Formats: sequence, C-alpha cells, structure tokens
Amino acid sequence: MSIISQKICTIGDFGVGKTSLIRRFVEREFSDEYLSTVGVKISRKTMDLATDKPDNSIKVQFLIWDIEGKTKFKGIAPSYLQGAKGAIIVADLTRKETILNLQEHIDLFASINPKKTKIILAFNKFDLVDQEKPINIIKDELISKNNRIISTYYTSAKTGENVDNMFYTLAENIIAEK
Amino acid sequence: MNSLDISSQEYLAIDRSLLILEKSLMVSKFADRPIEVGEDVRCGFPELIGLEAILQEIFSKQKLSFKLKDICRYCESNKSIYFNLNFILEMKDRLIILFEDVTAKNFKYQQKMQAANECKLIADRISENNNFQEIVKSQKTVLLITDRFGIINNISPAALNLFKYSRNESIDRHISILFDRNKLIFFNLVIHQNLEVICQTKTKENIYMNFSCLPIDSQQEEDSDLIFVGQKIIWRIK
Ligand SMILES: Nc1nc2c(ncn2[C@@H]2O[C@H](COP(=O)(O)OP(=O)(O)OP(=O)(O)O)[C@@H](O)[C@H]2O)c(=O)[nH]1
Ligand SMILES: [Mg+2]
Repeated sequence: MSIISQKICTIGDFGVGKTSLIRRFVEREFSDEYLSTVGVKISRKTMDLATDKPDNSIKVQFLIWDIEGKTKFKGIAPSYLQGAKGAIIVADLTRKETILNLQEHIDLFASINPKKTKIILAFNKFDLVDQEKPINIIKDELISKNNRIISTYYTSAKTGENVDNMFYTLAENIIAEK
Repeated sequence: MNSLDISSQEYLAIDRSLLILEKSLMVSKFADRPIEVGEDVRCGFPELIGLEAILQEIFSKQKLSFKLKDICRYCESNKSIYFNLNFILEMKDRLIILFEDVTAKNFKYQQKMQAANECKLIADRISENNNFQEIVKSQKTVLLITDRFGIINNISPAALNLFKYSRNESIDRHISILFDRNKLIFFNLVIHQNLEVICQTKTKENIYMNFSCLPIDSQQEEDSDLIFVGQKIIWRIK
C-alpha cells in the first residue's frame, strides 16, 4: 500500500499551544512546561483513513511543521508556509488577543498557498474555560469571511479533547481534494 | 562554468528527480534518517516534501534560489541542532543544497525568547487578575515584581531559591541587591527589554542571567509596576 505524504503547518501567536497539540497527536503526551519554539521543527505522523470501498483504507503521512509563534517583535516567516496542503491555526481561549489575531494568520497563509488549501481553526486550552459561548460571534464571522476554513474545534492538548478529530478531519479533506 | 565554492560547507547535490548525486562528508548529521547517494533526498530531509514545485522552478531557472532558515532537529532542550538550507542551481540538472549550522545563534535566541514570552504571558495574567500574589507564588520561573523605581514588592519561590535570599530579606529592597544598578535605567526601560546581567546571590556567587522586563499595565507604562522574568544563561557544550 502506498503512503501519501502531505505537508501541513501549525501557526498562531506564541504560547497558544501549537507544540502541545502536535505532541499530543504524535506522541500522546502533554507537559505543563513551556519551551518556546524557535524556527521550525517537523514531525511525522501516519494515519489510516477509511475510503468508501470496503477493505480499502489509505495511509496518509502528515509532515507537521511546528512553526515559531508570532510575537510583537517577529512575524511568521512566509517561506515556512510554502507548499503546505493545509494549516491548523491556533488561538488560546484564555487570551482574547490571540483570537483577534487569527484573521492575520489566515491572511498570511492564504496569501502564499492556492485556494484549495484547507484551514482548521483550533480554539485551544478549552479545559481552562467554562463555556464556549463568548467567542461564538467572532468564530462565525471568521468562518463566513474565509471560505478555506473547513472546520473549527475547541481543543485541549492537556485532555486530548478533539485533537485527533481535528487532524483526521484535515487529512480527510486534503485527500478528498486530490 | 559557474561552479560554486562549496569546499568549506556541508552540501548535497540532487538531480531533477530529487535523487542525491553527491554528499559532503559530514552532511548526515543534519539528516532525519541515514542518507545514501542515489536515494530520494526527501527521505532524510522531510522538509523538502511540499517544496517540489519550488525546486523545479530553480531547475528551470524561473527562480534563482530559495532559503529555509532555522530548521530544528532532535528537539530535546540541549541536544537540538539548528540549520539553514540554501537551494542553488549549480549547473544544468544539478541543484546544490548548502547547509549552514546555526545552532549556537538559535540556542541563545531561544533563551531570550523564552524569558520574553513567559514575561508577557505572566504580565497579561497579572493585569487581568487582582490576586496576583497567588500567581507569583505558583510560578516555577524566576520572577520579580518591582515598583517603577525598582523596589521589589514580590518575588517567586524559584527566585528566592536561586538567589539564596529569604522573602523578608528581599521585599522592599532595591533590585540592585541582585544585579548591577547600572544595567537598569528604570525610567527609560524599553518594553520587553532583554537584559543580560551577572547576578550575585546572597552568598556572593555569580550567576549569568537573561532577564526580560515589562510594565504590568501596558496602558499606563509610566506608573506601572515592572515584571522581571529571568533565565539562567546556559552555554551549549559542544
Ligand atoms: N491547560 C492547558 N494548557 C495548555 C494547553 N495547550 C498548551 N498548554 C500550555 O501552554 C503553554 C504553551 O504551550 P506550547 O505548546 O509550547 O505553545 P506554542 O504555541 O507552541 O508556543 P510557541 O512555540 O512559543 O509559539 C505550555 O505551558 C503548555 O503546557 C491546553 O490545551 N490546556
Ligand atoms: Mg511551540
């Protein structure tokens, strides 16, 4: 069986949980300690995706680019985003600023990659907030303005909530486009 | 012939099908998996997956070069290496990938970013929360809060531990008990300033530290208390 390799990127402000989400998905681990990412680090993860035909699954290998988070002083290097088939753009539910900055990250990714590339928004650290309501308006507005967004998730790298779900959804959508 | 001088650098030469034609002696240290001449370069360098179109543009001279900076390999705090990749066409059907080791630079930069990012996260939390005594107490990082004149009004357990002072010995004292006063020009503090200082513990031991400093209240910087987050500077052992 052949493996299809696809590049995807995780981007967002610093400290929102990009590395933690990848770590949860790839290594099934979480740490409370924060080690800020410098530059970029790539992880691989192979997934079995079901197809319509019986006994016929396909293997997709994700090359996940964990990219240094944006700070006030340094933006995201556009060269990292080249050739990605999809992106997970992450915000931290406990820091409103990181949610307000989502549009900027979407614009950057969209300016570099063709229209059919897919975006998922991850509202992370869901375990730290009581409810999802307050950001629903912002979320709906982002979805209506950006047609590359295929889905949004409330995630927690700590509990694992929605993490696998999110990566598999992205993989299925990328494969469906091929 | 426009042959490149690659004598002093690690490199790989690849053809249009991205197969390795030639490799320099030590280039394997950058690879994710062992690499051999004749193999697809993407096996050892997964960074190239997705970049096929760009590489073909270089082969056909539509693009002159392409650079990827600060790629990290083996990311366990002390063991990671960082490198830049430079893609240049050497001659028809022969593309050179030049490697530049930037580990030392990034190792230092990581420590600065760490302090700066932690400082901002804590400052934001404190400015949103009245009960900041609790936040400071729970910090595992070296953290100090001073008034705008540099008088310490709060200090984390990790900081007390490192500097070997008790709480009572440090509260209401000037921050210069820990480091050189000349390094701190409080009224002109640039936001997010990074300070590299030699600190002295109570027992007169020197510690090299990198501090990041921010006003807690970003709306009223002039009057705001200041937050300092420190990291011991670690030199990388080769
Ligand atoms: N409670 C909770 N904490 C989280 C979650 N995700 C990440 N964190 C914590 O948030 C901090 C930052 O996480 P990272 O994954 O390093 O964030 P990042 O986006 O990779 O940060 P940069 O590399 O600096 O851009 C760490 O202390 C994590 O333990 C989560 O879902 N829940
Ligand atoms: Mg990270």
